[in-house]
Amino acid sequence: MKFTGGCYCGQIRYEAEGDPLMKAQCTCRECRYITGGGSNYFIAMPKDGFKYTKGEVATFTRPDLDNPVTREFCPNCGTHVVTNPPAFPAMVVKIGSMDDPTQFEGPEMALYVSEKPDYLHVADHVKAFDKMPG
Amino acid sequence: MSPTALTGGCYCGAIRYEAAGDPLTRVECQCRECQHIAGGASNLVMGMPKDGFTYTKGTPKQFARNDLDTPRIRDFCPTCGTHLLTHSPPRPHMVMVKVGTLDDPSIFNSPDVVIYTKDAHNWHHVPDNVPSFTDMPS
Repeated sequence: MKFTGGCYCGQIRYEAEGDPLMKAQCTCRECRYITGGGSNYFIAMPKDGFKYTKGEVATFTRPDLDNPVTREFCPNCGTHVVTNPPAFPAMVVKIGSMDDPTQFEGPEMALYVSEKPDYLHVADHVKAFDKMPG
Repeated sequence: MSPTALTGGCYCGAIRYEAAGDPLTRVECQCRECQHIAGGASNLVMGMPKDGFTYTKGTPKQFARNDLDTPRIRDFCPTCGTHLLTHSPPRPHMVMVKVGTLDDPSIFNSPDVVIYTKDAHNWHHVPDNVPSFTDMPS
């Protein structure tokens, strides 16, 4: 698949192409900071098919972890666009940043439901994992 | 700190706040704009009295669209990008605090209302017994 997207204000734009490695929602506590409280809906796209076409993102990486992910967001409007995990061959793209979020089609799995508050929903057909599978 | 104040902050800890007073509303918004900021999810917010809200550490960066007459003003951490709250000009007496930034997000419990369901996707959900509106109810 191929899609384009960007941040809310338009300062950051990207293209992503390739076969998705994962389509999921994550309800871990860390993700819920970044989302504002909801599930983190994402599509993992091959790193070699992902590129920014406009703007320069700000990045945040926790200094207290051994292999922290790097979170990339627009310095102007604060929209988080992707997460870049060092040990995973994909960019984890936020569904809200896609120009056409319907291309996501919905999550296939739900991660870290052990941390899910009651007010977040996992659909019956979505495979749920207490933590990260595998 | 007020004994009834809620506390919270961004993911990296650079920004901290307290919000005193009783919550005025609990809202789940599914509009496209909120989906951008929330990464694709609904936006879960608690409306807290503006006069009870103070930042206790750090200074957020603000974003407001320059193409709207009365844009929302969005406060976020310039270090980690976490959005903390929205100032809504039609509701000058409250701030819309992001549930994910609360030290105890379970306080949210459930939305009182779900709005802008017209923008929802099939992975969004309206809880049973919660009133929902295709737009903003008047």
